[in-house]
Amino acid sequence: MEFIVKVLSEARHLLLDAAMYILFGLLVSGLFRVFLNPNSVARHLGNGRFLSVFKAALIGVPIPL
Amino acid sequence: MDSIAVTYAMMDPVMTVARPVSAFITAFVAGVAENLFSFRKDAPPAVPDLSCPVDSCCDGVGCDPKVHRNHHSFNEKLRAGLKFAVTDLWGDMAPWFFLGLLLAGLITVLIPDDIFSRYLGSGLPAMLLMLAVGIPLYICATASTPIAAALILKGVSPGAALVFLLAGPATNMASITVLLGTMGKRATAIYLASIAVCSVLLGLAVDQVYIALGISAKAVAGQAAEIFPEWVQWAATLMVIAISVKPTALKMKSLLEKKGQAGEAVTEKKEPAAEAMPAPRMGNPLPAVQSCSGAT
Repeated sequence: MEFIVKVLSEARHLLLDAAMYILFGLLVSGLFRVFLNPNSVARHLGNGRFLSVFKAALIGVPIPL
Repeated sequence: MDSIAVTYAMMDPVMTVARPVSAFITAFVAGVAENLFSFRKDAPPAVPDLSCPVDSCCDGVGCDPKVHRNHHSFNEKLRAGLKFAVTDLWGDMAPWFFLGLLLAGLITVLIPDDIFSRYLGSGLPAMLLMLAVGIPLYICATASTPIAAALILKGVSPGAALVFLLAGPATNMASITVLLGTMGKRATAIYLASIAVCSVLLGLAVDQVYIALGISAKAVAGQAAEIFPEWVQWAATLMVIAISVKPTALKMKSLLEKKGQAGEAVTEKKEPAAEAMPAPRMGNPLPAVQSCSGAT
C-alpha cells in the first residue's frame, strides 16, 4: 500500500511539471490543423527522393504524434 | 511540439535541443535509406485531404479553396482547432501518457538510486540496453519523456536516455508487424537498422556534448518547470486531467472488452497503420486522427 502511494506521488510530481507544457503543445497543434493548407503540404512533400524527406522530417519533428 | 515542451519541462535545455535535432536526423536517414532502396519514379503523386477541417462543409473536390476561405471566421477555426487538439490528439495520447507517468513513478521508486551509475551509466552497453527496451515498447513521445527523466535522475547518461527517447516512440512491436505486412521485410529491416544506428550514434554524440560543456544532466533535470508558480501548475494539471478522463476511460473500457473476447481480435490493432512510416511516405501528411507515436 505504501508502495503504491509512493509511485502515485512520484507520478503526480511529474504531471505537475508537465501539465502546462502539454496544454501549450496542444494549442499549437490545434492551430496547425486549421491554419495549414493541405495543398501546399502536398506540393512540398508529395514526391522527390531527398528534398521531400528533408522537409517531411523537418516538419515532422514538431508535430505532436 | 508537445514532447519538445515536455522535454524542456522535465529535462534540461541541452536535451530540449538535442531531442528534436536527433529525431530529425534519424527520420531523415531512415526516409532517405528507404527511398534509396525502394524509390519508384512512376509512383502516383500524393493526394491531399482538402476537406474542410472545421465542419466538413466542403469535401475539397467540388469546392474552390478561394470560396471556402470565406466560410468560417477566425474564431470558428480557432475553436475547431482546439477541439481537434483536445479530443483527437490528446484523446489518443492521454491513456499512453498516464501509463507512462505510472511507469516513470514505478522506475523512480523501484530502482535504487545508484544502480545505473554503478552498472551501466553510459557508453555503448547502456545504449544497446536502451535500444533493446525502446524498440519493442509501445510508447509515445510525450509518455516516454517522464521515463527518460527518471532514468537520468537514476544516473543513466543523457545520451543513453536520448537513445530511449528516439527508439521508444519510433518503433513498437505493433508497428513493426504492420510494417512487415505493408512494406515488406527489407523495408522494415532498413527502417529498424536506420533507427538503431542513428540513435546510438546520436546518443554517443550527445554524451560528448555534455562532457564538452562540463554539465551534468542529472543536476538540471526537472528544474525548468519551476518557472511556473505552483498554482499555475495545479491549474494546468487539473485542466489536463479534465480533458483526459474521457479518453482514458474509453481506452480502458475497450481494453477490457478486448480481453473479454481473448484470442479473437488480439491482432486487430488499427492504430499503427497511420504512424507506421513517419518520414518516407507522406501520402497524407496531416491525417485527421493520429495515433500516439512518432519520432518526437
